[in-house]
Amino acid sequence: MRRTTLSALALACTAVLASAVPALADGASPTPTTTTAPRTSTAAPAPTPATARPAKPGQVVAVPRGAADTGVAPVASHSGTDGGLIGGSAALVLAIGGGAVLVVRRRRAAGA
Amino acid sequence: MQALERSVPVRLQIPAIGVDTPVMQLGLAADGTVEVPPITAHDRAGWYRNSPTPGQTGPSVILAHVTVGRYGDGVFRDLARLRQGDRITARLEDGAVPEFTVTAVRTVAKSDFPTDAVYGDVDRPELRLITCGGPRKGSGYLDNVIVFAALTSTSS
Repeated sequence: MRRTTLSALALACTAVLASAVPALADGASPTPTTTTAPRTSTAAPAPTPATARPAKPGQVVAVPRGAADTGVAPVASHSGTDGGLIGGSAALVLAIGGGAVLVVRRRRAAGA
Repeated sequence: MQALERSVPVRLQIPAIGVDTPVMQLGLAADGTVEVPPITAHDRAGWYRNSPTPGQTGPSVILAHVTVGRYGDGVFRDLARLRQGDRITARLEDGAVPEFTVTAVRTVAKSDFPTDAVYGDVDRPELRLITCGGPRKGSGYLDNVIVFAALTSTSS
């Protein structure tokens, strides 16, 4: 039994060694395959261009894209108005709150 | 009406709304939109240099701001008040003074800008004045005001 086992093991090891391919550093090197890198453009994508048109005498030769941004709202005057409104509202809230506290204190004092 | 030779505009006058402004030259921005004059206290109009000069056959395009942020009103603050029949005068570098008459004033959403109507070919000398208008959104405006005008006379 032991002899059969050892024989089988030896046969298996032989088979493994026979099928294994040696990794030899000095063997024939694999033929390098010529890989052609895909040609990619390194240029950044251009922004959406205006529409260029055949030059006609006297007409628009490059049509701009979209609308014209010809206005920056005068924010200064608006912020001043808003600031005044906010300040006025805050003062009103403080006055009402202060009045309420005063009334409560007086009632408590009168009750005591 | 006889078209003029090419000569860049140096001044624009619109008596009906008190406009008398020098005219600078504008090109295209990097994103393909039209350039606009700088935001300064001394606002001025700008002629789009890829369009015909005023008086040449085709649509000559001039832009200016309606408001210039903290500097207040822009040159075209009252452009929307122009009416059909109002006069617009351009002074050209060569001394010619073409005069245009307003044919239409339109306020359009920027999201629906009528590119063909503004920049499309026409068979006579015309003028387009463009500024912003309509409701504000943030620091800008949602609409454009566009004045369409046609050449009616020329002097020098």
